[in-house]
Amino acid sequence: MNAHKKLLAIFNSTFEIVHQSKEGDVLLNTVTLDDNLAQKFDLDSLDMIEVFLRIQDEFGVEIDEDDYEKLMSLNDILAYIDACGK
Amino acid sequence: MSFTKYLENPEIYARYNKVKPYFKLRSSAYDLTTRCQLKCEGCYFFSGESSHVEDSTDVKKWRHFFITEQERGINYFNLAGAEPALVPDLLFAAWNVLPFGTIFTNGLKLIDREINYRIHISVWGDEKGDKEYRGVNCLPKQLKNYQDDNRAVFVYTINKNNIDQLPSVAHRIVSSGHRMTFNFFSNPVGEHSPLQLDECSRKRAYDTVVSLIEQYGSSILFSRYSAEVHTASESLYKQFDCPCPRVADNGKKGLGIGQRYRSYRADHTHHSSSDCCAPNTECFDCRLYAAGSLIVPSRMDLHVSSEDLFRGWLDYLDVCLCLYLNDYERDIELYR
Repeated sequence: MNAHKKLLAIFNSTFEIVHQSKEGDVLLNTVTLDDNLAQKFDLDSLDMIEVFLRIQDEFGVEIDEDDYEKLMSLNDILAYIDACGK
Repeated sequence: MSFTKYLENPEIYARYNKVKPYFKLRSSAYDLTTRCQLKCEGCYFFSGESSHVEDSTDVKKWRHFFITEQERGINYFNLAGAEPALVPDLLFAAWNVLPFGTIFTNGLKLIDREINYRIHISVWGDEKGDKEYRGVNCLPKQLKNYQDDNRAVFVYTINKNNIDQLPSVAHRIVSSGHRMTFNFFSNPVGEHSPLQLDECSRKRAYDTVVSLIEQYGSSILFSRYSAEVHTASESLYKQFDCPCPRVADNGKKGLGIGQRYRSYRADHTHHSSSDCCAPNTECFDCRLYAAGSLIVPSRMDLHVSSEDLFRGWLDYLDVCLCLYLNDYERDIELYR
């Protein structure tokens, strides 16, 4: 699975926990690389922290809390993971 | 171990899913009046400039204001002082807009039972302590007013000199069928109160609180992890790098409460420099329960270095939700 798909799987996992429905699957099909993910999925900051924690576990990177605000889209996150050398 | 590994434990997974829907709670604080029947030692309200504004008393204006707040995304009201029970019409104005909230009161005047918000009633000690710190022995009246009232949570503010009074007061509150929690005296800005907890009294406070948890079980809305956090050598601010707007210059604006939380004064104004749950408290000394209720839950990322710490965070959240929501049932502690 490439990084992009892994990220979407993480969002899907988080989203399902939040809403307990399959609605997330529908939204995931429409997400673009530049979409603001918190807005797109109606995730609040704690949801986003969960996403970041899952990304840390999945990709073996460490996300500095000062960088949370900068990681708004799939592109932002992919670039961040890339910059971490993974 | 890691966050995703912790969630593989069914007990932890179930608790996480129980608390997670409440991540959507977005609160702010509202002083409804500058009036109070009491002048308590070290009162945060009267220590700051919040008490110097002119009260807005127009109920229609307040209702409109609460609707505007709801439209801003706020879905939980913290209604405070000076003494909100003195302005019942404003409490109804809030209640008619939002079904979720807490009223922070001294409990001397009964709040209409139709208003189904949580009621946090401040307690400062036994008969001697109450008279010393507040001028009046409040507890008999508080217990009488809120007899058989499930909205009520008694909040005992622990200070350096009233720890020995706590067991007898807890017995009285719990044997009256009530639940209680604990607050920890913290210096108002610019003050060095003799009530401030020091290392020795923090240790005594911890031991006393834990023994009350063991003795009274679910009647005590506090967890062992909460006791650790609030009596640690470092303040909440130092432990968790508070993300309130008041200190948002530290770059944590991305965290939830840094985005929306406001602390309105009785004239509907607010300033980002005082937007926090205890605007007049010294951040570097802050151990207040209201502060912990906002800060600790928002810092899940600081609770994933071990499974036990994550369990403690889940307990903290579980207790918080029970503290602030009438219909939320607390579970057993997970922290080991």
